[in-house]
Amino acid sequence: MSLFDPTIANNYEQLQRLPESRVPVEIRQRINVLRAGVATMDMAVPDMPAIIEQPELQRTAPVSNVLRNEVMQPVEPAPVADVVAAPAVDMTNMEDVANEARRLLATLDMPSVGDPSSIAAVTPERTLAGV
Amino acid sequence: MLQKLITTVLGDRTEQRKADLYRNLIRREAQIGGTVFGPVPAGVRREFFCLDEHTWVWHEEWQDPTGQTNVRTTRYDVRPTGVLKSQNGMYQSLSDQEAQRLRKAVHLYYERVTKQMYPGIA
Repeated sequence: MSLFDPTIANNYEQLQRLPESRVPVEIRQRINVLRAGVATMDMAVPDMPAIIEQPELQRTAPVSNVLRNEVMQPVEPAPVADVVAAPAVDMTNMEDVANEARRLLATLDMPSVGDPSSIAAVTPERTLAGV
Repeated sequence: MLQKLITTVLGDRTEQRKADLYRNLIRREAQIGGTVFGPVPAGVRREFFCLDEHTWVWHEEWQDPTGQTNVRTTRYDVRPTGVLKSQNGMYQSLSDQEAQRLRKAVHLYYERVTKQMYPGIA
């Protein structure tokens, strides 16, 4: 099997058995991106445990519900003052990245949406209401 | 000429396979990332992943009671001075609380992805 065979990414047991010298460079690159992503986040958002309500962020509890609700809140246009204070953002580039994300997501082999009756509980209105 | 053509075709295939592999890694990470926020309800498709070192993406699809599919893609743009949240071309700065939760989610994502996908490598 070629080290560049995409199917290797679907067989993680094989991946674990690969000698270090045979780990595909793409995987090393990806791990480096992840590390950099965590480091960038840590620099941008200094750890402030006191600001987080417990036990919401206990390791065993979901980070989940609170952040999920926040994510589901529509973004409102930022006040002018905030926009001025914000660092310069290349909106063209942002769209490019968003398009890339959509393209990646469109190729995900995920099961299609199932029973609509089971989904009512996760509409934005209900998640915002704290359900 | 023929050699050049063969080299070009083989080169393209290699690049394509590299791209496919990288994309597959992100696909799988996105699935794992979707579980960071607790169980994914039936009928909901949720992915959360690191697009690049400055960008995290949350993608969620669900159906409303009328059966219509809803999609929301949220992008977190990590800047030196904080995190911008972007949806549909609009953006806003994260509150301190939301930023802390996102940071925690990113750490959990890293832990789970490296444990499940890259054990012994990362």
